[in-house]
Amino acid sequence: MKDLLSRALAAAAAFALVLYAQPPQKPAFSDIATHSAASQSAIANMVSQGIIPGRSAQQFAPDAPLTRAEFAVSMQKMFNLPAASQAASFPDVPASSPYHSAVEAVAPHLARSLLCFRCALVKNFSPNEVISRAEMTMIMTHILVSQNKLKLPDQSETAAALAAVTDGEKIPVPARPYFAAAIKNNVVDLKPGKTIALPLAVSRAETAEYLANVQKKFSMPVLRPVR
Amino acid sequence: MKQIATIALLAASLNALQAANNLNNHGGPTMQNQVKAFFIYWMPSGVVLDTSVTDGVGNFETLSKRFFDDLSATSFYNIVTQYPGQCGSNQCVVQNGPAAARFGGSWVDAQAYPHAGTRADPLGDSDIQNEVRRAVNQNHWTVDANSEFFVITGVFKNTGKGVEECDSSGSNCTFNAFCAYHGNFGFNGTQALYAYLSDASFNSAGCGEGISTATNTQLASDREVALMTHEFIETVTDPQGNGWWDSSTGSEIGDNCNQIAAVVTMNGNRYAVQQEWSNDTASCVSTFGPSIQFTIGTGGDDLRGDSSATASLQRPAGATFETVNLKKQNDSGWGNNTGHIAVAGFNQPSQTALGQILVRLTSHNSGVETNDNWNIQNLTAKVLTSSGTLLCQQTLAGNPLARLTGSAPTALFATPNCQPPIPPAATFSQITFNIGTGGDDLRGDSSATVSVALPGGAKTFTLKAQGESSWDNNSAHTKTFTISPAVTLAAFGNINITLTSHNSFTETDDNWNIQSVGITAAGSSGSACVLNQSGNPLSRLTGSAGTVTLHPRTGC
Repeated sequence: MKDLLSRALAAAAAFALVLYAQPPQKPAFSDIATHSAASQSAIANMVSQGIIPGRSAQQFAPDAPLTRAEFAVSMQKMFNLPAASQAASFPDVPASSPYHSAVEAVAPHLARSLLCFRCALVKNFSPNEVISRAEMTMIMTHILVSQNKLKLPDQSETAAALAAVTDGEKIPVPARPYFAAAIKNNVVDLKPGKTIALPLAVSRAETAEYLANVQKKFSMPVLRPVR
Repeated sequence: MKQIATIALLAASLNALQAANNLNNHGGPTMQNQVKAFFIYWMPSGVVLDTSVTDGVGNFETLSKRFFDDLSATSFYNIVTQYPGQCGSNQCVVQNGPAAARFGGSWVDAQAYPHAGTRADPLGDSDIQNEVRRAVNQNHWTVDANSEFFVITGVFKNTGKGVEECDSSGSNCTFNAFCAYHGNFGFNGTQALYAYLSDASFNSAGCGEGISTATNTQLASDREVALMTHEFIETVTDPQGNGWWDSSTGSEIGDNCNQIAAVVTMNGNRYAVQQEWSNDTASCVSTFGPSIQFTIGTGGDDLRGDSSATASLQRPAGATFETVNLKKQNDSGWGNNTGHIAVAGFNQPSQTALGQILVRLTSHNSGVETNDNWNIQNLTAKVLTSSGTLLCQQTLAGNPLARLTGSAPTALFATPNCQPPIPPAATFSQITFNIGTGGDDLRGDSSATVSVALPGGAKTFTLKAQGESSWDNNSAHTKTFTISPAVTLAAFGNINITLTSHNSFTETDDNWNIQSVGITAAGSSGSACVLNQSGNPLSRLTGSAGTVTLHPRTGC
């Protein structure tokens, strides 16, 4: 009986693997047609896994900036961050907020004092603010490091990785190893002129590409398709 | 010496990513006496500091000035004395006390902003730096390493929205990241220290500073002072970004306690301030002290980076009442001929007698290392009140003063200057003997007594009765007895310790090595040293010479 059960479970697992290995079906978004094939594929990939939901059944809003709340939801989902087990850390994301769990899950990775070194920080999370490339890079790299998927470079490796980055000097000293790790591992790409473009908002399509790339690069499990 | 290259691990401690950790010293300077604060209120037409008061200002400006008038010699400012900075090859630390800090000046600038100051067109960090330059030139202020310039923007009277600003990265702004920040920039060959403060009450991203009730009748003013204390204390301890901050989180002294307020009284006036991080207690505090400050010069043999050193504070009779970290393992090494400062709370009543300091070197050898050796060239210990007043100071020097090694890792330094005089009239009703046995024990069937000469005649106490457990080799024993009536310290006369053998049939007389004797008297005024002696042995008692006479006040 025991043997039969384990065989059945193995067969089910194999079936599931085949199922998940299927290329994600492209959602019928009417507003992504002008985007590159790679972008459309990444969007389809992220939507199918529920990492970045569409704005509606027909609209993905690929060029709209991603909000902090949306990014928190994506991070919690993709990295399987634990659900919130504490009271609200931010007055503007109370426990009743639909984003509360995701925001609390991401909170340890905001690393705000690294990114805003020598700042007296604000209390709010500001869920509807757009997320900048600086924040996206910092949060994602911080999670990867904390999950032992990525190792921070030492001082000389950090200096080497950022030497050619034109806006590298604008990265605060404590945050530099994270950005160096992100660049070395293509967590974030450089914009023309070899700039990270720290304050630039990240669009939803760009985010889909970044996340799809990270998921693949770090061999992270593909999530069950959303139906 | 025997230095083996070690890699300083600066990588984040992932287990403590968001925990409040102690601050690390990154080797840069800290501000030194006299610290001065200058305020620049940048208020073009249509901008005020507080929309809740009719003139748009109220006590907003005067409160900050009064704060600095009152700050010196307070236990709040004393917090920063925990954090020394680098002055050449030696460390130095800001001293609290009268005139430790002062208000430097203020200026209201009505010049228009170079940007709208809105979310769509915020001010930038370069605008703030230019404003500092303009204020310095306009007012003939002096820029130096101990002056900080605060630039404060206000709130638009017509919209009620605070002026918006972004830092040099462009990604951190008043509307999404900070209430304030501090920084430094080159100015005529020196570094200008400055801070930008948004108008806390009108920053929509959450800068209430944990204050909901006005301490000085105007909420916006109190919040701004609290926000200012966050930046000011951070600037004192990390003026150039290479001072004190937590390597794993980037948090400075104020960040670990961000928006945690406290009300402190300074010079009779009450202020809402932000609490600050204390490495001494690993907690947020609004007061620090009394404290003990060590200044230690290393001689011709360094203290390695992977070694640690502590100082045990001991009473005159040798009991340790507190142990202070001088250097933690993996703090930067103390190179040859360099000076270092370590500060800790002196967690005792201020009249506590500090009789001696035991410095201990601990080697933490890596695979190929042997034990560290360390030459101490000089040592100064200061006990200070929470307002910075010196209670006592002991300075010791030698060439070397002490050499600590793997086999002799400790050195004991007497601190007679730190034993406050005992009031002559104080009386003592209890006497305690701490006796160390050396390399020859006191047998179980032997007895030992002590006789103390007192005004009414000698009193004899039994240290060990016949049949009590033996006092084995290298063991320590404490016995306390009551003296009645109580006597003054001067009344204690000679002290005789006597060994009496009670031999069984086959035994010969006992011999007993006494290695150390510490005697303290206790009374309602506290405790005092009666005698403190040691030797190798201090005395050997035998059948033919069974008594040793000790003289009071020796070694105290």
